[in-house]
Amino acid sequence: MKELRQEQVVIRQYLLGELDEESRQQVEQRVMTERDYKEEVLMSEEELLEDFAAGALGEYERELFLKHYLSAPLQKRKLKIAQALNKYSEDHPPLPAAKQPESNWRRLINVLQSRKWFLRMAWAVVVLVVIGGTWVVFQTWRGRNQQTELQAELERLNGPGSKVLEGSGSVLHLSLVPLSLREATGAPPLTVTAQTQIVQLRLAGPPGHFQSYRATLKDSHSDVVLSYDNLMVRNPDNAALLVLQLPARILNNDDYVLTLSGLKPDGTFEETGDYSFRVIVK
Amino acid sequence: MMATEKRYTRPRPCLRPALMTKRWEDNFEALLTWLDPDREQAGAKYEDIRHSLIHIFSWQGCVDAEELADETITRVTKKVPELVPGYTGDPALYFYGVAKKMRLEIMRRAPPDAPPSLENIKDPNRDPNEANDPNESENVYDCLDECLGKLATADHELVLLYHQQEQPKIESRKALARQIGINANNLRVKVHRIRAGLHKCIENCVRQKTANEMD
Repeated sequence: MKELRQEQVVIRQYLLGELDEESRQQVEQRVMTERDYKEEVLMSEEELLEDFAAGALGEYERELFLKHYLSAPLQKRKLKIAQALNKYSEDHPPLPAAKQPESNWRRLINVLQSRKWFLRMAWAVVVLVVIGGTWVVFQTWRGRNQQTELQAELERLNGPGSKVLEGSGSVLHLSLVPLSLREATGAPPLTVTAQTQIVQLRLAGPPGHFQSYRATLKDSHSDVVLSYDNLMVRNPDNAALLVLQLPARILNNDDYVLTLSGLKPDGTFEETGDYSFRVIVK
Repeated sequence: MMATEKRYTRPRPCLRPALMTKRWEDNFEALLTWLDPDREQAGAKYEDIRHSLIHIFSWQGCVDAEELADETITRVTKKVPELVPGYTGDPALYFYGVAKKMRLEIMRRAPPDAPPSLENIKDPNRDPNEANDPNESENVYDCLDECLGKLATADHELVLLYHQQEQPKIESRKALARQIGINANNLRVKVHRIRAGLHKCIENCVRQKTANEMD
């Protein structure tokens, strides 16, 4: 199941033009030779179209969708069909579900209408507990959902085949050195504006020469904002760097500490350094 | 030969008619045999390759994806006599290699423009009047209605129900799959195949309506 999810992430990156040349060709060769894989790409494409038509794409993906995916007439036709299907399903709502047997409702209504105050009180307590419990469950579910989406986005930005984005209005770079090496001049600031979509943290000379690293970002309250395993050394501009790309929306006016840990052959992690920075949101 | 012409989408003769000689026909027959000795299987593989090429060119941003796919097939067909005897591996990869070279030729001749800035791109979701041709959208909607009517009732209901699930759709659709009694991914595949048929129907219908409007 995890492999399918990883495959779907790569396919979405392909459709949005985020993959490097080699990864792009790998996807295309598989489309040519594996029927099941081609079907998976087409299904993922439909889901991308549905998400766009429903306004469910994040700003970054929406930009890529408009600039890259929608550049060809075939895709524009597919979008029209997706939008028509959206509208059609709104115009033709499903038939209402069959009503509950009257006797069950009747029993509940009888309780509410009961003159016995303690029955009505008990009912009110039950309702309050149910509402409270539902709210807690909803908050937990929402939090998990947001985490799942964040992990998927991090995988897309940093996983195998992803590009190291160039600096632009929407992509901010920040170079960091370990706390142990930095003079006591305070954490370097990063000014995030409404235009900023991606923040790219560049860590020079990755310590320990591990195969991969875990990056854990904490705020000033030591709450974990994100944790990403599988960060690998890149070579943009021919310099070995660890690059972590993250969506700007998760950052607030705060001080952050990024902790790097290297993956050892036995599967455990060894802390290799802390990097701090300050975010100013304008 | 007539059966062959009816079944397979031949590359359109962008070549001069004189070149559509017996030799080309023989090469095309040899191409099908190369794909598979069984005629039915060969036809299915041919259409699959053509379909894949169209999509790949389109995903790469090519405006004339169908023409490029047909040109790729034409180039491969011309080479079949010298190619097939020594070739090992999946023929589809050879087609892909030729398509890659074609794309490089196109890019050398006319390097792609830099992608436009976001401010200059019309968002079909946010600017419905500017971005969409209202006539075309209406045609698509009407054709969708017509094509849904042609589906088996169960498939029609399933497609609509699948789209009517509340956000987040992943969870709602898992629940729908449980309700129906199948695995969530099987449901996804089932709906995709119904939609693929719908797409073909809608494209044909829209083409017909557009042609009628122009008459």
